[in-house]
Amino acid sequence: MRPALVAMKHVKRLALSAHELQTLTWSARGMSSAEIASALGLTKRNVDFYLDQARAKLGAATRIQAVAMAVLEGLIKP
Amino acid sequence: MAQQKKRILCVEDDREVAALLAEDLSARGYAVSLVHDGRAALASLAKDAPDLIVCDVLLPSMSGFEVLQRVTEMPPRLANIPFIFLTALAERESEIKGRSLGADDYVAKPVDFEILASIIRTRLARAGRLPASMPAVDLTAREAEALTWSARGKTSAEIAQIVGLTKGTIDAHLDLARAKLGASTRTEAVVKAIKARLIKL
Repeated sequence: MRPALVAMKHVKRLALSAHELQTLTWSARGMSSAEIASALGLTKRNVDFYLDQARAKLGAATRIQAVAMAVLEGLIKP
Repeated sequence: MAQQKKRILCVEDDREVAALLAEDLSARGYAVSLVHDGRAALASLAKDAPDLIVCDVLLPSMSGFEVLQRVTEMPPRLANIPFIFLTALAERESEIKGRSLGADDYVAKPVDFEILASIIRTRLARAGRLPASMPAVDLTAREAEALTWSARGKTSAEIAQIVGLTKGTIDAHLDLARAKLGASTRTEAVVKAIKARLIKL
């Protein structure tokens, strides 16, 4: 791969889906996965999946870091 | 001093659901006004501004989205009233639409009243807190340090290694910080600390 493309890969980040943003928002407000699932009519597994996808897309090590990054970057407004 | 009841406007065309909403929210100490369509909602809203609006998405003649759209075009005093959608729509595209219009939250139907009540509490607390900003929270240096590392993606065990304490001590610091910030989870504590500029990443 050419260097320019390699560099691009680091800059360009996958956009977060509506579900991912929503679960991050609720997590930032202090809700557990089970509570978020109940509020959104999803399963807890779904919620954990969305939160983990969001974490991976943001390049965060933990869920807390993912939420912190999303807040600082203005992606969510809890 | 007797605290004035918070007023909630419920917009729901299904009479049965509307009655349930009114009953549950009244029992929780709110003053509830019920209307069954968007036009009545806008009229009621302009007449006496409620503290919060709970609105069904699927309404006759005017959809919940249109109601929200019209509300956001009103003067700031009304446009900023917290807005919560109730939706039976499995279709998640509606969420994106509602979000882009500025809805604060979605609650899926059938409504879990515990969840709805907790969202309403959060929303009302936030709305009331806006002008005054957060009360001063005094974190110790250790608590702030532990929260900062947590926000940077470190686990308690990793933080313990970094600052040279035990994991138990770190957990204690994080838990105290969480309690001081009035947060229910560590995630919420980190968010509150960031917003209050108590920690920097």
